[in-house]
Amino acid sequence: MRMAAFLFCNALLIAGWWRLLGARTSLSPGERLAYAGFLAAIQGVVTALLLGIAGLLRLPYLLAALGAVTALLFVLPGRGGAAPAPAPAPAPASWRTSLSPANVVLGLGALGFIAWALLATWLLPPRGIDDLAYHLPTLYQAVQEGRIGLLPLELRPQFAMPLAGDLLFLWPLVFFHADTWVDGVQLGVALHAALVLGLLARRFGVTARDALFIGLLFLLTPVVMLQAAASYNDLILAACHLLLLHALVAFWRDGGRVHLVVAALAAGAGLATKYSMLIAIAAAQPLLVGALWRHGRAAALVRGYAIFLPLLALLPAYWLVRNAVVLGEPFYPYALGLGGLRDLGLTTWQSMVTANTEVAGRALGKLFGEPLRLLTFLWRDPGLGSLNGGLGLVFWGLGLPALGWCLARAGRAWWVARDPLPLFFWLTAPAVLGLYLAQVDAARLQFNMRLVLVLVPLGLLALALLLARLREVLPVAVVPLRLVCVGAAGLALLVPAAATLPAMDVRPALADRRDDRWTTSQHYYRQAYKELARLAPVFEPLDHLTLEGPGWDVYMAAEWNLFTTAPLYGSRLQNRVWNFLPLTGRRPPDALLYYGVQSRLYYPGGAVWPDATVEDPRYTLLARQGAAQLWVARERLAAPAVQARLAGFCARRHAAEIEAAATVLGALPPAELLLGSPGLVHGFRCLAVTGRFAVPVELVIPGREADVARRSGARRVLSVGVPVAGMSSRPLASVRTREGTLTLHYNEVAS
Amino acid sequence: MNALPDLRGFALAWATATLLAGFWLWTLIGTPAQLGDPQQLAVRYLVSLALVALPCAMACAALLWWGRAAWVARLLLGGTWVYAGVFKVLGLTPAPWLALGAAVLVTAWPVGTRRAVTRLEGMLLLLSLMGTLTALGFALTAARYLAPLGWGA
Repeated sequence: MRMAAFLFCNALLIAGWWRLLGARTSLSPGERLAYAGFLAAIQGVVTALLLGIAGLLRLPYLLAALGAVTALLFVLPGRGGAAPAPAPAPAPASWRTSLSPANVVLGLGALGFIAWALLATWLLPPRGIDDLAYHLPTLYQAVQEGRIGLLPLELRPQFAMPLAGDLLFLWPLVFFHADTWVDGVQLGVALHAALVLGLLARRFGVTARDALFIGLLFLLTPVVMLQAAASYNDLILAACHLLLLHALVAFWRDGGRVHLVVAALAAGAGLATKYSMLIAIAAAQPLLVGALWRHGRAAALVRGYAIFLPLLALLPAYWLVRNAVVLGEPFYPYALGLGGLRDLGLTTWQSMVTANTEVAGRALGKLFGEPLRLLTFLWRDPGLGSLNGGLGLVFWGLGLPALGWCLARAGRAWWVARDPLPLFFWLTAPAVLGLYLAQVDAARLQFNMRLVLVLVPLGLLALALLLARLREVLPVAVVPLRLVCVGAAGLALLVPAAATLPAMDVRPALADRRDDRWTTSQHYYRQAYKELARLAPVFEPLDHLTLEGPGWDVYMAAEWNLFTTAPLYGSRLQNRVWNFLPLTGRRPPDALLYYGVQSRLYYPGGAVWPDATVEDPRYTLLARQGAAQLWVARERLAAPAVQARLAGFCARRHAAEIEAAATVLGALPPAELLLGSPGLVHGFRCLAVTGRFAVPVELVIPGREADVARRSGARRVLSVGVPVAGMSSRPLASVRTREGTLTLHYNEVAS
Repeated sequence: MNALPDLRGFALAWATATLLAGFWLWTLIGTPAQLGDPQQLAVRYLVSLALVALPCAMACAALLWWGRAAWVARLLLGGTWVYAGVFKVLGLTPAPWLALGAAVLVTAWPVGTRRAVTRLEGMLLLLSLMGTLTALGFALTAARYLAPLGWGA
């Protein structure tokens, strides 16, 4: 029901702009839909931003504000006078003419992927690196506080980055007050970008069939598929860039002011998503200047920029001004200089930079200095298999040479026919690539190719134009070329199956749903990259125990590069991150999470040392996995509702341990405490929760058994795995578990 | 039959492009530590070479056998000249492949043909380049594409 309401609201927002664009412009249906979708998104972002600044970011206010503007869109009068002359849009094409066998196969593949991605979004939690580290925490905090704020920059300087793209994620977060559908946002953006790509191709005279062909190929690009299942914002950036180019080409051809407005807003939205959009905006200026000049020389140039610049500034203005005022640098954590954006040295993870020393150094320098090495590196498709990169075989094999061909043709068109549009348009591709390579360290290519994701649709557009040319010159080559594309797209569909960034395997989650073993989506962090996978055993119980009720205040201390705060909020955003709470008036945390080597732990928002927590009788260790520990306040854990949830968790996650523990229940002598570190302790704890075992159970850190026993004051202690040092011990029984055969010891205070 | 000689520039360029791809892959074999199992890499190299180079070489050989042997001499001469006279002087010794590629432009096409390249030849050249790059890309990434099927994992 809530999902139906969500979809209805989205449809209504788009319908408002659809109606207004229909009343005031003469756009083709495709462009009208693309622009309506984009303007609806901008409406949502601006509304959320204004409410967030005012501290009123709550669903009722958001719905009211969106509804009011949308109602206005429905009642605004259309343009007076005679109906506008229709734009010279390409001839309409029926669906039937677009359905070639290749398109049918690709369409089925794309539909399959969309279903797969939606399923993964529903079943699995957000599970990337950047989204969990800094994209989502800011949004989660905004949902909880109703205000867009600035989280501690010493933890992640990226908290200061602009959020226009990220505010799209806010919409499902506010609506559902859960992270369930947040990863689906970029899927919608990918579909929108595919539509825009098709429209752009039509503007270049490509047939509807080929426009659909490249739109589907775009959807089936490795990096697009993996980005479409994550809350990164690189797809949003590429979509803004693509829409900017489309609107400028349309403006060049038609001169319609709506295109100029959309181009400016797209440029602004991109800039307010990632500062790398500056490159795109700079590269698009010849197109804009040329188009304005064409439609009225200097006067049009002045008028055009008078429209373009304010609209461009609309979205990024808030973050640029805030950062300039608060942090002294508008582009924080970068600085804008003559050499482009300069990293202030706050965002780079050294471990990643040094991970690939094969091609370290500025990428552009490498291209000239060691071309062989860099080119072979590029053709290995940096980032393939993750959302960081993987532009795909179609791009590296076919799209890039086709881009070169289009550039050569564009140069010829300018030289021979004095038509600068193709040259201005196609030059954006080498400009974007060149500036990117000039800025990025070659060692980071495998993490950053997503920043030039827009090259993929440009390469595909070039490919479509090449196909059209081949039909005239060498028609026999068209079918093999399309077959290669379909084959490459088929191969690309295999990529998500093996990916861990983000993991897309939904089989374990579906099996758990079927077998009634589902606890929370955070269980499936186990499928993510290894650093996050290690945290799954502590995040999962924390989320599950707090799913109902007011949630807990959760403290975290971890190694800096492992510090991932988003999961602490819980899948229903029910918990608060204690580190981010105001210093005055905050209570002791309800739960504490430690992760990493103690000497390297980082304590933002105040230090609560692990040793102090171990000694603190108010807390008990609930879960541990390697260097990750989850401590919970006994008072919270003792609440009947939490006990009931813990019992449910036990039944689903520790059935084997319960069964193993139950085998020795009858053989255990009376005792005042059972402790240990292996998983079998969870079995005893679960039996205690359900009333089948009357002895208090303590999970302990290995080696700390004696401390815990001493602190409890118990004189008769059962221990799992090892005897308690300093007590008189004897082996009691052996239990076969998944971890091997464990010995239960009976320990008494030596008299 | 008459159209076939017009393709000689294309065939030589195709063969050269393919050889360049082969050369790239060959150089990769020299750094197995960066790429993993050298045996698997050698297999990939041979497969990719078989896919693109062998047909190319055969087409080229057929043309040469047909009476165009002079192209070999020009190609070698041009290659040597460009390598020794340009790249070596400029200190770009690690780029013999660039010399080879430039040699194609200098000798085989279009100077050697003494005429402009036809649209058909241009398209074929472009397609051969695309085929080579796609094959190269696949050779270098096949393991990651096919990992879910248990190949190269």
